[in-house]
Amino acid sequence: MKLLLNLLEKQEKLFSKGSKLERFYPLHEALESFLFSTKLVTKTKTHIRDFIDTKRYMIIVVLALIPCTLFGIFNAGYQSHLAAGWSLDFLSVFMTGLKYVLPIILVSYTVGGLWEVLFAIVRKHEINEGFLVTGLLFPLTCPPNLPLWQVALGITFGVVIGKEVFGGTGKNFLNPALTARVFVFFTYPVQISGEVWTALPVSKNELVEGYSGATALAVASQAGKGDVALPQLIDSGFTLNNLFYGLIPGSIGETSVLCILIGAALLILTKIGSWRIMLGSLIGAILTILAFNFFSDQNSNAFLHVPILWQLFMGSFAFATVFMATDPVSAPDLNESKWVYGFLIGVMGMIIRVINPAYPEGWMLAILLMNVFAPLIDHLFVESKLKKRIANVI
Amino acid sequence: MKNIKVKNTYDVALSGIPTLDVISIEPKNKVAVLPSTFPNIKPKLEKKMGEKIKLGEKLFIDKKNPDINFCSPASGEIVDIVYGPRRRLDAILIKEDVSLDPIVFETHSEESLNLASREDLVKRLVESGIWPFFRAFPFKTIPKISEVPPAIYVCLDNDEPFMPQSEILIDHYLSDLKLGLAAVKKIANNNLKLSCKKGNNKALDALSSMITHQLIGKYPANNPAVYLYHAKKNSSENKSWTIKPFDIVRIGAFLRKGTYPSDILVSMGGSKSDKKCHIKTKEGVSIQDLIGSDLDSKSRYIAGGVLTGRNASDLPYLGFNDSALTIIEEGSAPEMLSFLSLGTEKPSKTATFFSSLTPEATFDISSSLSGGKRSCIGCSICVDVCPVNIYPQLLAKSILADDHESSIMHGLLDCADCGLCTYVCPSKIELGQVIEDKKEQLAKEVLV
Repeated sequence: MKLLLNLLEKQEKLFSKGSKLERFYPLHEALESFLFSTKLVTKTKTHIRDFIDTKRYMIIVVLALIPCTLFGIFNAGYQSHLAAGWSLDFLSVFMTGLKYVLPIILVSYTVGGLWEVLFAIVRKHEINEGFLVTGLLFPLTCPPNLPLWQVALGITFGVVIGKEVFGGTGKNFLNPALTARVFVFFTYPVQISGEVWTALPVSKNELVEGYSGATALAVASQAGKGDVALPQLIDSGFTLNNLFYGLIPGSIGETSVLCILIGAALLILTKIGSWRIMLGSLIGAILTILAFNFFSDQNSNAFLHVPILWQLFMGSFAFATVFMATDPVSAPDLNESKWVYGFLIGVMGMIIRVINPAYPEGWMLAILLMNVFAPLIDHLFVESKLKKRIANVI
Repeated sequence: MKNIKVKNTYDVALSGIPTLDVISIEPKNKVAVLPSTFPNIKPKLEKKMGEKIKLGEKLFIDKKNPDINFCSPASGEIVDIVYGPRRRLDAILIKEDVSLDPIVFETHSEESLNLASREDLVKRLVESGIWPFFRAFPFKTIPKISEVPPAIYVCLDNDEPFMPQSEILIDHYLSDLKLGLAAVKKIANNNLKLSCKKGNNKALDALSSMITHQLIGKYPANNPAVYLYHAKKNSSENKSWTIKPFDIVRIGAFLRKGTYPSDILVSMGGSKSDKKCHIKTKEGVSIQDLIGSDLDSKSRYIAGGVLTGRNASDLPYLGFNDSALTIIEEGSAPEMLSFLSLGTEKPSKTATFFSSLTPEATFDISSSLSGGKRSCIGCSICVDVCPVNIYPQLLAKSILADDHESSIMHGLLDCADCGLCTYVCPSKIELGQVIEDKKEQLAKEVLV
């Protein structure tokens, strides 16, 4: 460790003020503060500080995402092997999954990271750690064989337009990972929607007979009219069990509600993820599903009849509620606003998923819409709270 | 007697808390007067270098309010005058000479105090250099002589780590405390709001009739600005005053003896402090005298508490406004991949370290920033620790955006300067400094 410290200190002189490499100082600083704790001390009347910093904050979120990532890698390989009729032995499945997922994660971190470094150098500030989370969230929302150039373009849009253009981490009003995904969704819809949720390792005519690869959302949305969605889901091989554990086709990180709940527990226990947003979203979604169930009849869209647990487990509701909606920068600041924000996400996401025929899932759009409304919700609550203060003016 | 429950309070689990032992330390070196530690004054020296001065004699005044005297805490010779940037009067150093007689004022007992008028008492306190003990909200500046406060709020207890404890005041200084309280009550026109920590039976027994509120909560429930915020019924009380409990003892000592009360009680503690106790000493004592050696560059010497105190390395003396000495480690040794550490020794308001598994433990905390400066990420941890219901991140943002009206509406003037929002911020934003700077700027504009 001392060797590393000495090396870094020697390096620092290369980047100090006045030297040729001065503008690359953020790079050196990022490396040094990544490897070692800061040398900075307090300079104001508050002489001590809490040990929490943004690095720890973001690392906890990344840790919470690890179960989904590992399971997603395994699941991508599993669905591929199922489709091709290959062996389901753990190691070979995991290797196949790695082959599909690892490049996406690497491209996301590398391309996005390069943009972050560029902006840090030009703006002369330290590289911000918010990117550690965005760089992992975006791949988890992609299908396992999304073309890598689309991953690169998507993360570029998300980091540059979704965040850096506004001033970097802390100054954006949209969720950067969702901005990246929505860009790819609208610009290159073919490889991100439809029958893309299983990575097919062989050509279509070599697949296992009777293999469909349809996601639960696809089955339910095309089920027809009346209370026929549940029987069709069961016919297609879906059960509450596999919807919960996640060995089903879907985007890389969204399928396993169990892994997402493990992540949610970590976020809530450490008080990093807002439980109010998560609970608000759950309540909003449940009330909407109850309304759908109650007001639908034999002539309405079958999707409206899907019962609560099935509707909550399928698709990316859990992933979006736990990891996307809770992004602290784009969510409102006040605790009261978080309830309203979460609730409206739950309601809107369900409406877009079930009622709108153009979009197979609703969370990306619901969260981005509520990101836009977050300042307004905050403003209304702040106004009402400030009125209650006893005026202290001069 | 009413109970006030303060929400959003938080105790930092610091080690090195001073015990209730009391020792005495006499100053051996010079004693100092520190004009730059008084808020919002323009000090003007009334004595010159090399002149002799008596205990209680006028030493400097405030150009903006020249009637208020700032007096010398010792008899002796002025041996040094220290100037800071832009000729700021930082310190006047006095070498003590006890052969010089002090200035003598009239003494009082509780009975004669009852018969005296408020104007007479004010005049007595002003001419003897005692008046600056009083501070007027919202800016905690020294009140004008002509002002009459709507109320005076006093907290007997305090819960910032390392400040003198009320038990010692009651055990060692009770008669002076009672005399001082009678004087303060007169200055307040009988509107004295005296609080103690809930369950402080010693204080309740000793001062039962005078205590009006019991405060419930961790730090900073026993902070006068927090007390005022929760007790006030309307905005007429915003201009109330406050005074520290030991300064009330000093008023009592002054009235009893008739000379400037240079005897003070300070608490000393902190993980790098050899002594963790209370100390009877003299105003202006040097830190070297208190610690018994020279200052160590690896330690940070704080005049006051760790959350609100002044870094005393440049002016290593405890002056008129100081009542504690806290010594902690300066910076911390580099730790590899610190953000991945288990953190059993790293206390945090969040539960992101394993230190949360030992909630009763105390920890050594250094002056390390523990992170790099970032933008506000909207985590709202600061909101969870603000005892006066301000949204610190929103207030700081409106100040930085120069939105004056919005800052006032957010409760800028209610801020108690407790330092908790700055302490918890993961982005290491100087929230407290932003708020304090704005208040200072406003004070300059508003107070003539």
